[in-house]
Amino acid sequence: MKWLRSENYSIPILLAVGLHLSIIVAGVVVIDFSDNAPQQPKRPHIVNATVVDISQTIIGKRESEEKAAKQQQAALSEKKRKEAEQNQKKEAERKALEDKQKKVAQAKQIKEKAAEALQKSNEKKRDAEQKRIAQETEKKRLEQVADKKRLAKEAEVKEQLSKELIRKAEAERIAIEERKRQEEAARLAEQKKAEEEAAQAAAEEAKKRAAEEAQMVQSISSLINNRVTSAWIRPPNARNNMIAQLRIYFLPNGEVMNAQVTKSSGDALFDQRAVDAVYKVRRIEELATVDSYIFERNFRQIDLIFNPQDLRN
Amino acid sequence: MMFKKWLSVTFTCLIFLSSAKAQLVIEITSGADQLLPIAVVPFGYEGFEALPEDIAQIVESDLARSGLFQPVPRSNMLSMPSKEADVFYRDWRLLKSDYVVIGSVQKLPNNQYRIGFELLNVLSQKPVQKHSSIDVSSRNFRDAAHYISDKVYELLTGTRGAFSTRILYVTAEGDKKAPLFKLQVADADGHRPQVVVESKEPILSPSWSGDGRNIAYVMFRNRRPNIFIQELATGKRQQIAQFRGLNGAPAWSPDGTKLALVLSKDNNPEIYTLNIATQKLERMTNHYAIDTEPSWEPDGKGIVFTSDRGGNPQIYRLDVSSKRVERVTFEGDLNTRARMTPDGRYLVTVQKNDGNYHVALQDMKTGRVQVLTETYLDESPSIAPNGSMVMYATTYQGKGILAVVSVDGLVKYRLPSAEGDVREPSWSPYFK
Repeated sequence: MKWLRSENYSIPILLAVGLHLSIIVAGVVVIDFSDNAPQQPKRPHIVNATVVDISQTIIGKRESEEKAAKQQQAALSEKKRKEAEQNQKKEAERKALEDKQKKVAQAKQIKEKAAEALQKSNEKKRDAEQKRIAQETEKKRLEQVADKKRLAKEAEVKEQLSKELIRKAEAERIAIEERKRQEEAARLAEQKKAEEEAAQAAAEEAKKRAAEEAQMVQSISSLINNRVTSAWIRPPNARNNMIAQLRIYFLPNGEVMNAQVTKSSGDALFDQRAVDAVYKVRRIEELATVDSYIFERNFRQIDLIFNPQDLRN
Repeated sequence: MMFKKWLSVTFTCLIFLSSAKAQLVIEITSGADQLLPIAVVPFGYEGFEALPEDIAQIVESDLARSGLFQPVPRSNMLSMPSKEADVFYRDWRLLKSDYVVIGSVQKLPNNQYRIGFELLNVLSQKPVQKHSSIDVSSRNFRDAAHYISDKVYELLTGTRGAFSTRILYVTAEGDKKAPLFKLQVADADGHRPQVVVESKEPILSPSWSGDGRNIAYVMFRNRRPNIFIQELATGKRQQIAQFRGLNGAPAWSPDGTKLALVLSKDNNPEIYTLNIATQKLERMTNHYAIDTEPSWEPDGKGIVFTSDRGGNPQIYRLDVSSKRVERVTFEGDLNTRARMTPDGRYLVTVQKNDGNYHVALQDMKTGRVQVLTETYLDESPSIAPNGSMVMYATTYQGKGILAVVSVDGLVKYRLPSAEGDVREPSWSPYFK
């Protein structure tokens, strides 16, 4: 219920609008705007003076003072008229009824006038009041409007401000994020570069090591070949292409730990002499100097193929 | 990042695994043609009487003579064990002896001895031949020794030893103008010679029967050659076929039922076969040239002989069933006295090149010929039953002697000189 919140002006606005509306409605109901009031004929002020009610308002007081003065004048004129009447007694008698009638009508008129005046004054009062109220309400309304405007403006400003803030914050956030992103990218790039460099270095190292290893393996292999060749005393029944395969297990100090025939030549003696040759070599001292990694990879166990090519068939 | 790391680790592992699988393989295609070092330790003996023979010495000599072994001198031995429990393999390694023969002699009642021996592999530190023993009399010590030599030889070369075989040969002693001829039989090493027969007239072409029990030879009587068969063990002698003209060069068929021989009863030396049991004679060749020196192929299907039918003496082969003849030798100025190795692979002849006579070996498969000897006036080659050695007669310091050459031509030795000139050697078969 967003509109219920205190910072929101919905309720006061609603109340004010309601109040104004009720006042206007009341005014419309109470005040008769109809213009059917009877046209007051111009009468001597005397009649007027007697029935004027004095209102409490300044305007009313002034009116009543004026009325008092008028009433004095009316009293004077009455005296004159009575003198005339005495003078014209006959006429007066004839005219008496008329007058009386007139008087009644006049009284009635006065009464009506008075009522009208009263009504008028009341109306005036009410008008004034209404005017005042209207003014006040107008003022209030204006104030309210101003207020509203101010508030609106304030709100707007605020909103703008907040919008600005948000925008700023957003921008800042974006900027930070961008920076962060860039930093991360830079870091990643750095890392990648480092990794690549490391990989390259490792690759080069590996290459170098592989080359070294290959060379080492090559030289030790030919060493083993030479030693075994010179230790190999073949039986007289050995022939070319009699092939025996042995698996040799070396200890890291280069000693032959074990030699097994993995593929027999079919001739037990030929196989045995091959095994003898390996045991006769007994130890490849140079193996002790080989890097243990290279040793494990290449020389922990090796296969020897005895395949004479220099014998008669 | 983590994933990457693990990936690289896994990859490395894979590389390692795959490379660990790649087995280093080294191929050995030639060997040192060294002699096999072997120590024959003097046999242990706990007795007071002197032994008739030094068995270890005989074994050592046999092995050395074969040309395949290099015995370790006794003087170098650090210890002289007579049973495996006493052997320190390290000692023998230091002496670079790949194999060791140890043994012992134990005196039994009735002039009998029990001779035990073992063959040990120093390199793998295991016995090749576990302890085994033979009982012999004092007279047969050499036989025991040759028996051990044969065993060791067979275990270490894959070929049956021929140390227990014997040889026949003819000596001519005394006055050069009227020498005494003796047909003798001896151990293959020349020891223990015994006279089979002696005569003032020449004795020629001694030959063994297939089982080694009987011999055949030519002995002149009244200047006429006669062919005799004799049982060695009993000395029982039998003269066979007496024909006009030449009677010579008897050769036993491998199955022992026939003799191939040369007769000139039809004016021209030809090859005949004689069935010993039925005395049936069969003429095998028919040519105006001289056909002589027949020798059976190991399977008995053919006979190789010498013939000059091609202009000069060469070796021909006769198919026994079809009697078809084909020439075998083509190299050298001449080839005579052919003998075939027991495996039928090589033909041994006396070949004349540039006026010199040498023992030559012809490969029957490839036709390649190799001259084996460098001695002077070589003759009468005879092949050991294991096909490893050829014994022949030669002249050394003006005297006829016996010499031996291995079929590969690498090993050569002379037999101990007997009295007088030695001729016509004949190597026995294995004794059954």
